[in-house]
Amino acid sequence: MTAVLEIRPRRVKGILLNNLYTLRHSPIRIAELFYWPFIEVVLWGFLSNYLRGRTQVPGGVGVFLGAVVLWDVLFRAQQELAMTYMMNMWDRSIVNLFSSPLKQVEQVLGDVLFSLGRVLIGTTFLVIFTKVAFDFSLLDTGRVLLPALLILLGFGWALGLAIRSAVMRFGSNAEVLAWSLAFLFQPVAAVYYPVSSLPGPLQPVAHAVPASHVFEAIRAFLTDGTVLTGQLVQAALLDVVYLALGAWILARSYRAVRVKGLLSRPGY
Amino acid sequence: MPAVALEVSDVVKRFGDRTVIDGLSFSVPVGQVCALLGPNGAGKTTTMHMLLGLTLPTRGTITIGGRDLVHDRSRALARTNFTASYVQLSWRLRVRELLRVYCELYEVDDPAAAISDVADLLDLKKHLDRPGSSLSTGQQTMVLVAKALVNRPDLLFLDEPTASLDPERAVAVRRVLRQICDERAMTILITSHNMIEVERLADRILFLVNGRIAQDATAAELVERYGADNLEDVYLKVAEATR
Repeated sequence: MTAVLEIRPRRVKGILLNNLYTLRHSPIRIAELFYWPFIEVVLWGFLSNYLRGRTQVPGGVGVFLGAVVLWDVLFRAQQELAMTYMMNMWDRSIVNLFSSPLKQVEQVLGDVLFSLGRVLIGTTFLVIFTKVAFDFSLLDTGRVLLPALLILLGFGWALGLAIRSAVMRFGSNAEVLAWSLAFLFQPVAAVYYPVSSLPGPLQPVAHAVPASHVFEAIRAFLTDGTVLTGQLVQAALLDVVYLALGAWILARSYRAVRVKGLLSRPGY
Repeated sequence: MPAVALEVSDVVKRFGDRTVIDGLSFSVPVGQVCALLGPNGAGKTTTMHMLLGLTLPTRGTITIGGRDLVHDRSRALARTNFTASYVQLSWRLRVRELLRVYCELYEVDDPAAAISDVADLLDLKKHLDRPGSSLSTGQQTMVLVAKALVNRPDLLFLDEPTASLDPERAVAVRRVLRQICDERAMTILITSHNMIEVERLADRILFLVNGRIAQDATAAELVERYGADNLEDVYLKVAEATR
């Protein structure tokens, strides 16, 4: 067990370098860091401008823009963790990586650090853009912002681990999850509306999703400055459960593909 | 490293009902170049993948440098490396970047010196700052060989390493491998369908048929044993006899 958990920083650095070099030579991957979030923010920004003064939204219509930016944190964290694995699969370099002393935990850690960097760059860009273009500052979410970001990152990574597991186990058939899994959770994540507006049977489902607590907390803070500490703690605990589940599924997939001899022909 | 570089003991691999490897046992002493031969479907690549930790044996044990591969995979593979005709690297990266990544994964002490040394050895210096995608298939194969040597492995696994090289480059690679083996007792386990390559490089040949070792001898012994002209003749005779 200790051998499994013993992490060698050089190997984590190797994965980080691999991702950075790949990014440097992939202009499209650099562009997509800004493109989709930019489109989303512009759409919701114009909608917010239209609704401003016409309707009453708790916390103000700017809350939609905050939701867009924070949802992008979750989605980006999930997608990056899946994409870094898939890039290696598409490049057919998986066999070289897995026949090295690299451990799963080291590979995931390197990819997590890389995704953190991508999320920070993308989010900083959106925070500045929403302030300049639509006079909304995510920083107005004050003390709630940091725990919100951490919880959304954690949940995104948990989903990313599940997608990696599926792609490792089922090959390119599972790639579509990288673009779709987070959206399966979006209706019950209370991103743009409160959990109370969902149909009764869906509300317990929403409460089991960490993101719903985060978005409720953000709305509450923007409405009257209330910090829903209980909701955030609950979300953090749920994150731990989802991350543990993601890691467990990945470990199971890794074992299954080695038993079946599929690791040497990724993307089958 | 102990006197035995690689020890395979009673290894069985089944995929469902199909037994691909059936009680395989052999050991490779330090510094030996051992070739794993056999017809298609004999289990060479499955064996190779089990030795690399890519595939788990159904039964049996594999130890590398005295470390159990299944339970201590990362440490067991730390002083090994591998290349094959069917693997690739992220060719969008520059050659120097690719080698740097693997220097980190294998925790090479001085990456810059290691990259320079291996580039000298394989005449790759002029390609170091080129994207891998701009190289010819043969040049990419040379980069894969460079990746396999960059950590100065004690044990090198090669699966058809020179399959896409022209004869001149293939000879150069064989010369380099032989030179390293002689200089610092590197152990090699190689599979190849190129019998000239095997004859020139291997100290010992394991002939695998239906997941079992059918012959274990030197090339000269096999040629004599089968009254053959060369190793290719032996190959054909063994394959024919076990069909």
